[in-house]
Amino acid sequence: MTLPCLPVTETTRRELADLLGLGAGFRCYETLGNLLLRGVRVGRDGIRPLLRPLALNEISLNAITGTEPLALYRHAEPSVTCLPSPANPSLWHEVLPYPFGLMLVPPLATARLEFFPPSWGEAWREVAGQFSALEAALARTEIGCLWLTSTGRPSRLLVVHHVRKVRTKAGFAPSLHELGEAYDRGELGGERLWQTFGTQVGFFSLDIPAISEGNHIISLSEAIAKTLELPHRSVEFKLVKDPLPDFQL
Amino acid sequence: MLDYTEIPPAHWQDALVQTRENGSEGVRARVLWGAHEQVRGVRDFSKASRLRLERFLGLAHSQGLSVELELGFPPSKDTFPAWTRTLEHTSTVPAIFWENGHESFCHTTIPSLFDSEITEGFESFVEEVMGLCHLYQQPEGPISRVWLDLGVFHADSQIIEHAGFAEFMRERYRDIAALNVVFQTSFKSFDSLSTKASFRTLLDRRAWVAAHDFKRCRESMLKRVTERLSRKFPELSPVTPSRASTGAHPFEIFVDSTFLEVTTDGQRCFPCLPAGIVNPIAVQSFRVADYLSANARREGVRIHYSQNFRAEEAGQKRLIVVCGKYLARDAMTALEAFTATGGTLYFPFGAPLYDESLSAWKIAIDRNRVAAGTIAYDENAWDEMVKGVSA
Repeated sequence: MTLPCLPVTETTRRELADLLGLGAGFRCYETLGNLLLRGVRVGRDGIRPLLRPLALNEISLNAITGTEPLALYRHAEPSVTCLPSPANPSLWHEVLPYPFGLMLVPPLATARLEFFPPSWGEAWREVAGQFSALEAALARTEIGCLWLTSTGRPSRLLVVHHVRKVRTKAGFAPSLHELGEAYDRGELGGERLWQTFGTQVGFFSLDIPAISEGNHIISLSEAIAKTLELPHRSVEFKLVKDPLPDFQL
Repeated sequence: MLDYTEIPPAHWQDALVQTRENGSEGVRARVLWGAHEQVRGVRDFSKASRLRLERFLGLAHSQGLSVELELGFPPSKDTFPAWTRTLEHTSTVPAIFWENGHESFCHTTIPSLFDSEITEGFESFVEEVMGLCHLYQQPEGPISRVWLDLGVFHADSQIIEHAGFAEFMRERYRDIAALNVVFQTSFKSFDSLSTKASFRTLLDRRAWVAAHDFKRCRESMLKRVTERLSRKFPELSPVTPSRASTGAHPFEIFVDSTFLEVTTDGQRCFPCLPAGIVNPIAVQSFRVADYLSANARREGVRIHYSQNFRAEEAGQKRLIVVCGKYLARDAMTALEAFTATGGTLYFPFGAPLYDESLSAWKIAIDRNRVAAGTIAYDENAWDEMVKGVSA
């Protein structure tokens, strides 16, 4: 069996963010001292890098935070953050476009993430925790499937492959959409998963509620929690080894 | 590219069959040093099932597929053996160069290619792989070629602290006085250049020229490594990093990559930050490139990154150069030739005024083909350029 998932491209990353409802208006800046290293605006029309401003001082910061939410990733001077070894990023860091991965990773000693207003930041921290729990659930079996559905948008199947608990591949599998459709009809069982993958599979479904402007992150967080809290909503196929024969003296 | 070590061995056959059914006659596979050498000096090609290279080659041969193997340092978690992590000499590369790595402004530490233990260990590994490859060369076996790719080291930002940097600068400027004239510095010898503080001075004085020298030095040092390995293992074919496209489409956008590190697929870039030193011009260059490439993706246009401009290919191409007041003389000559053959130049943060010897640039170019300064913050100007190309 070759895992039938496609590599995550720039386009699919953006589509996934859109599907998850992460596209409401906010800005994300990375700074080193007063120098603005990178700025993007996330809006309904996608993620747009910003050319202005070049530098960020307290005055320009106040002006920005007054208009829309802002995530500020500050690197400690004098150099940019140096990770100790090639990072093994989280699944979400891998499949979501910049800056969402950045907002879901734990803080580093040499870089800190601040949110304006702070209440908006709390909502992001909550969703980061939920994503982390969802990743752990997907990693319980060799193949983890996440069926993402949202009213009025095309559904997507995210497939994650782990070898000895290490993630080796993650991508979208349009060819396996019928598995999701079968799940929606209540016809997906362990046997079907075994026939498809020939190994241990966990199948989860995430129903993303209609996104309203103000509370999209909270809604997403609640939706993930629902997926994780209701075990009967997932389908799992696990190979069970033969029980050991009774030991006799 | 097929990473046999990442596919469960039971699935190798299926993966190869699928490759053939997709119409490919060959497959390219990476032989990762870190995967095969879990313990220092002990290499496994046969015990662990996922490392059975000969079995993989046998399966490919039975499917009638030719195999190109790739040795070297691609960005993968299995590139380096675990023991190399504790070595004294390290390099830093942008984390974005690592497979699915951080896209933020982070660097990551890797072992240095110029550490003798790395050199010896890797050469010994190559020797063992090549010994095995001899048995599977075409026509008896599937191997058609073995590539050497120095991969992530093409973005190594640490080489200024290597003695090779001082040597390169000595070759380039001959005399320390000549270097001091160019950079308006007062270094006593070339040896004193191999520190982070010294390079910071060069960057502060003549940023573009310093970055230009840094990248040329790195290229020359890596070339020496490649040549040494190629002499020792003549069957190895060096992979050259991707260059700007010489495609036939006349409307193309090029961005000067002197201040940028570009991934091998040419899709993403990161500012060139020698030894992690953040230079404002490098950041500006990145932000313009980032902005343009996001718009270009939306319009279905591809941005090319290049440090070498070939005038005969200029046509109606547009070249964006982010620089300070100073450019290297050879770059100025190339830019003049670029406009002379129809290309248009954009200097978003102002045109250079002097060459490296402080001679005023007597611009021998058509002023109508140069846009400078005013477009730096004009998002509409960039949008129109991308749309114009897509049309």
